[in-house]
Amino acid sequence: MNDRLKEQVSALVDNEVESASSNSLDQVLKSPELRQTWQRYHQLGDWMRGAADGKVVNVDVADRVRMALESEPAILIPVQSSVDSAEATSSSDVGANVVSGPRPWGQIAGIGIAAAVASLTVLLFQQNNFLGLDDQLPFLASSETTLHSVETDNSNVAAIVQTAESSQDSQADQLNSTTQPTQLSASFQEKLDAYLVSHVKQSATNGMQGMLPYARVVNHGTGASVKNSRIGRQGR
Amino acid sequence: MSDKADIDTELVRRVQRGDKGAFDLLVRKYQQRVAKLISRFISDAAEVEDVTQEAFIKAYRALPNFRGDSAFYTWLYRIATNAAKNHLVTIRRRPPRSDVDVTSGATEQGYELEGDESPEGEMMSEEIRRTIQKTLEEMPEELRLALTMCEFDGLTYEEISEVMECPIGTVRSRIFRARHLLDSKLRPLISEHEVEDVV
Amino acid sequence: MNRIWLALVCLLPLETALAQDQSDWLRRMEQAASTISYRGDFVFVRGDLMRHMRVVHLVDSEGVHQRVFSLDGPPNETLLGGGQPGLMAASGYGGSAETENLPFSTLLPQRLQALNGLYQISLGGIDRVAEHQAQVVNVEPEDGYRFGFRLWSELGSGLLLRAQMLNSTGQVIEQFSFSSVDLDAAGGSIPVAEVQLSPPQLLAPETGHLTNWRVGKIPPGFALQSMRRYAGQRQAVVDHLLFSDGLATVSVFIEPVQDGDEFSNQSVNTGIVNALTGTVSDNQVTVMGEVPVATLSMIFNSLQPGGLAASAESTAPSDPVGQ
Repeated sequence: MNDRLKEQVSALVDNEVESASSNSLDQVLKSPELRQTWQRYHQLGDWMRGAADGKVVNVDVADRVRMALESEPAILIPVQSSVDSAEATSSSDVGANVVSGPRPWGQIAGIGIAAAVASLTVLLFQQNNFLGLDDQLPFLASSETTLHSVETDNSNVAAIVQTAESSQDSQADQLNSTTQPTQLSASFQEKLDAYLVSHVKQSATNGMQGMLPYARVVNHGTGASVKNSRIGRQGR
Repeated sequence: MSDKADIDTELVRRVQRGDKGAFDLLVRKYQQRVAKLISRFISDAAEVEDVTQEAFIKAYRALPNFRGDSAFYTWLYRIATNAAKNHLVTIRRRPPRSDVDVTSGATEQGYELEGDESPEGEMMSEEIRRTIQKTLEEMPEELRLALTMCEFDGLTYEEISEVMECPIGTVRSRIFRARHLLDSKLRPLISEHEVEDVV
Repeated sequence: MNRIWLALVCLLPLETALAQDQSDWLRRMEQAASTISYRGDFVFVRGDLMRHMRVVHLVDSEGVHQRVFSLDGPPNETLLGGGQPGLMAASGYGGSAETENLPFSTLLPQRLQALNGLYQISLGGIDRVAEHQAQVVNVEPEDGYRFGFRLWSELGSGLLLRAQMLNSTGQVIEQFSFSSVDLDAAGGSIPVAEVQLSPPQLLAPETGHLTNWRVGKIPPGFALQSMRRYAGQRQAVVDHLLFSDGLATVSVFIEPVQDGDEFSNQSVNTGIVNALTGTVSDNQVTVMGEVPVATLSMIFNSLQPGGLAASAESTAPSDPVGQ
């Protein structure tokens, strides 16, 4: 392994790489030897500081942790993991839109309940990837995966994409380039509605959550009024 | 120093996209620091190692919910602290199986405060410390300065280049050469003791 | 040495008693829900949403009757309990499908034990909620596959007066809390809704052979609790599989893909109540629950058609920790 690569690892350890060149990170991830180098350079810094304050610790649990995690599922979080940031940046206006108007999203708005709707995101996956076996994971990172956001007649999705942009630049770029508007089918919304009531009814039989399941159903009714106007608009 | 957390953020993002290898890098990066934190609660070397492993596994499982509100290492330290405390509680609750266990169970009551490293562990620590000191003293001054400013003072390459009045590329290469030198002296030490991971 | 012995001997039963105590509180909360008549007002908060609501909960020889309705926002409600068709017609929403007596299952001792492996249950202090003294019980998850809870249980009856659902960083994501509650409401009647509400489309129970599905590796502690079949839209049947870890529940809905179903591979992330949907062998499969997305996707990915084992075992509701 040549010194040029190790020098890159050294710079990576200090977080001194151009943001564009996450290439070096990819290289470290791929090479067992560079991973060792990465580990030892970090260890070195810890030991230097440890030597100064009189406590040098030496453990190596990396292999054990890796083996223990082999049976664990890969983590998959669609688009963005930060519900809170979405709520903070876009809940007030988006939430209001959803509750007040005859939006296609009304149905699910009822499910998620106002604040949660702010981070409402729909992704469409190609079947093979979505059903991916472990070796096909992560489906989000795979190149065949198509990401779609659902177009609505309000600004929900735009707001979500912006949230993703502000928090994760590279990811948002990727998202924008592959985003294609589609329409969530009305029949699917109705299904979701009925599913939710059934789900909550069943989960409520476990009295451990007190009033929470009922409150969820009742507030899910927020969607019921929206539904009426939507049906009217469609002339049913 | 400004964007020190970037690499962690990137690694966490990758883990949350299903890349377990990225988590391995986080383990390799933070295991010494986590173990050191845990060793403030637990003195037994083998137990520190077990709890360190447990803390990382817990962190992985909790990672779907990590929202980046705090820095990754802050979050990780909290998990590690809880793991250490839980371990102490479990140890105290473990019912005695025999007279011998009862005795050791009783001594475990003083767990948090005691620091009885094994003699071997002491030796190893001492050897590492001496080797680091000696190598740092013997290496060219510009290498030592660059590395210590980076590791002890947390200066960025740009700041070091200003202090040392040289291009950033030179700083980068000096720090690497310093590390390379230290690494070459320390590696034989570690491989000798490979079987025994010592606190 | 002798003194140490003595200390240990004294300590051990105490620890056991404590553990029992924590479980007792959970059991009391469950029992209170199915044995006490009460009425009260509570506030429900989730993110930016805040709703005042009222509950009337009566227990008589026929079982539990309950009406929960909103005091602000759109007038909505749920009704539970059978034997009062007139009442159902008057309120509409939540009507017909709820006439079956809703079972308030009790926490079996095994289930409580299993909870202990998945959640850390500890007692907090005594707090005051709606003029009642309450024991705080903390239920913290051991991994990232479920949310945690903080529960306030009324000292005398065990009734849950306040509950908070927490994410992994301890932030409250959803909660309810009584502002006033009358714990002795026996003999009262359930008020009839004043507003006529249109019922949403609900799934009607149906009998028949359940589709055979095989469940692979799912998050630790979760187990198939029940399978039901419903009539869905356009003569379709919907199979509903319920998974639970004893506290959190995840529903799986399976129905055949029909012509005209447009987008059947979707993941809906509402932030807190999460849902995933996709197709598995010409069936649309939707997974939802108040759990992290990772839990849903693992369950989704574990489903395979054609197996007999899971369905044969669980057409009758079974103990969720039996495996």
